[in-house]
Amino acid sequence: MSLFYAEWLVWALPFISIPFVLLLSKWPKARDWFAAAIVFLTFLMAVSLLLDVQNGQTITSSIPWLTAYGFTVTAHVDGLAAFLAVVVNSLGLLIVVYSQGYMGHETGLPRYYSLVLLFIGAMTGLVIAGNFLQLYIFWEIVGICSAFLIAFWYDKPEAVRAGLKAFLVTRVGDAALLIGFVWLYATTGSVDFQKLGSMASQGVIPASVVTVTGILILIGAMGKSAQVPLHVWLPDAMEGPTTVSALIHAATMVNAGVYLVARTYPIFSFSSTWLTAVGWVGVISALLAASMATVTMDIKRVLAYSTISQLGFMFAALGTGTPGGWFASQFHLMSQGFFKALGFLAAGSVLHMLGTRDMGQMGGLRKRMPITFVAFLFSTLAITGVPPFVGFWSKDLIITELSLANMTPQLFLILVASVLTSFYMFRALFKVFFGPESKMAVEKNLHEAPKIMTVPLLILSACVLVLGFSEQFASGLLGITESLTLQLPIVAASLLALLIGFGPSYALFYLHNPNPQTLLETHGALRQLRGAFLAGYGFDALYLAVFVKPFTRISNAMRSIQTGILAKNLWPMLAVLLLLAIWLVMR
Amino acid sequence: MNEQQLLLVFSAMLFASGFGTVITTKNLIKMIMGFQVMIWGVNLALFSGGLVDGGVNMFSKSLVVLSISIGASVEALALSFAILAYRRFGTLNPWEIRRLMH
Repeated sequence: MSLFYAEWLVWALPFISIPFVLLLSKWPKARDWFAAAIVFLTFLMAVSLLLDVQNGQTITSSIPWLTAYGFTVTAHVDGLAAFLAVVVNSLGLLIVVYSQGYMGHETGLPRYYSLVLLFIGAMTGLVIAGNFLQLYIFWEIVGICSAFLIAFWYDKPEAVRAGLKAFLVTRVGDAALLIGFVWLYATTGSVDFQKLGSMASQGVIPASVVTVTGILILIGAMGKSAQVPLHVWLPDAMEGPTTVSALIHAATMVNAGVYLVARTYPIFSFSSTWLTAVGWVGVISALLAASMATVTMDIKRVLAYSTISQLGFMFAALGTGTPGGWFASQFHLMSQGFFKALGFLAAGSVLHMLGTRDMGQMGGLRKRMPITFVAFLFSTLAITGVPPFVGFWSKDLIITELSLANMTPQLFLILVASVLTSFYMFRALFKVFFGPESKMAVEKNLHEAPKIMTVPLLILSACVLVLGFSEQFASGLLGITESLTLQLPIVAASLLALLIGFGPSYALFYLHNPNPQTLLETHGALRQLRGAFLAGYGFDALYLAVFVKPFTRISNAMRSIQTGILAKNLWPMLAVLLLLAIWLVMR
Repeated sequence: MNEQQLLLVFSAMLFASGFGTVITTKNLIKMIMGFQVMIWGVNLALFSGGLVDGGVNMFSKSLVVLSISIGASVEALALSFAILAYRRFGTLNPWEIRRLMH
């Protein structure tokens, strides 16, 4: 019952509709709802694709392109692609609907909606692409859209800086990805995922090439998915509108890296070096980002670090090298998408009404914003993994797979990251919604956000509550045959981690006993630790000193040659041309 | 002088006249026109490179068509910049605009 050419239109339709968004700009309401309607259509198509492939079929259709080099444009829909397409488009739809309320008073909305459509379309195209070349094109579109959307308020210098930073940092990863897949192409003569997968399983590709290209492609995924050490762009990306943050963190941008690793799994998983690298990148990111989230005062930054940390969980699951771990990573991706979108939209509704991101100025908001409170509470419970929320199932699956693969150090560190997760999420919850009512809320006579924003929150809240039970369906869809059962010791361990994190958080930020401020004043070691976390372990300072400063110095030195006036700049070119002509004559 | 050399000489002349326009003019619109003339010169050189007996080879033809279409869109973009610059600064003289920036 596939819809008409759904595998093509699901990503081409947003692309085609962008000019109409611009044309409809005379009627703002029509334009905004037109964008939502397009995403709704693509969502329907994604669902129809999902239904088509639910029993393990695949839909492949291709158009020849650059035939001399053996390339095709391929729409390849299997369980993984359809699953991701549904996640991207359902979250995209809710975020676009929420934008109607959140962005309603902004200027520059034609730009906003056309970029959002391009963003969602490119991400869907990325998951449906059947080969590296096509994936790379969409990969770059996703990157440029995120940079432009982060810098949406282009008159704010921090926003422009953040957009540029996102673009430059992910560029490092993109370059690695490009080198990686061109290398593979040079060795094997193919960029097609299926062909490369079967070649790798037959052992046609030399093992060293598999490892090296695999690591290069992993670096690409790390850039996109903001894994340490290429994570520095994501916390700064909070300068963009909250809807954009939700889109980047839940639906589009950061999922691309995890998806890429999952998609290229059949090619590279024969290399144990690669698997180890993937696993450790994830574990380190999960731990470092979670620790940074425990100290920041910006509500959106808490969620940003939390995204890096949760993506680390996914990479750690991929590092196990088992089909179960592979599935766990994708299931957690879906789960993370929903609870993180919920968290961001709830945080967005707070800062839309209150006008600040500083948690120090919030407090006691639960009575004034009950729906937002419930949404943020659900998001917290899901992130920390309280049963029966979706995060519980997906996180326990990851921990189970790590223990089945006998990866004790990784398992231990992931459990530590879970403790920190529970600590920082409850800290944010208590700081924003509990305690005495903040001065700012009283002054502004704070009230609940408009309906257009609370309805998506309620839908997402329902989703995080029930989606955990879709595990059986999802595992069938992704072609996992082994049975996935929760083991009691694992559940106990993860719930224990949850409680260990919750305890101090409750004492410090709800009971204020001991008071966090006095605790910091009396313990020098805690102060130093907090300083290190706040500085993000000095990654930013390092990059500034090693890359940014020397580059700026060189640029300033070049200013004397580059005057900015074309006529002047062309004189050297004339001189070279004359020299060339003289050389030709004299020869 | 055969056909190909003739075409190359013409293309060099086109390029040189465009180049001369770009470096001497003080009008943004004329500068863009000069650019376009330079692109024509390049296109003609590309075209002459593909000359074979009784025609032009497909590869250079397709390159030229690509170059023409890209050139046209670049020119459109440049003209729109010129219009914006005129609205903003009230002049089309690049030297003047640079002075206004500081």
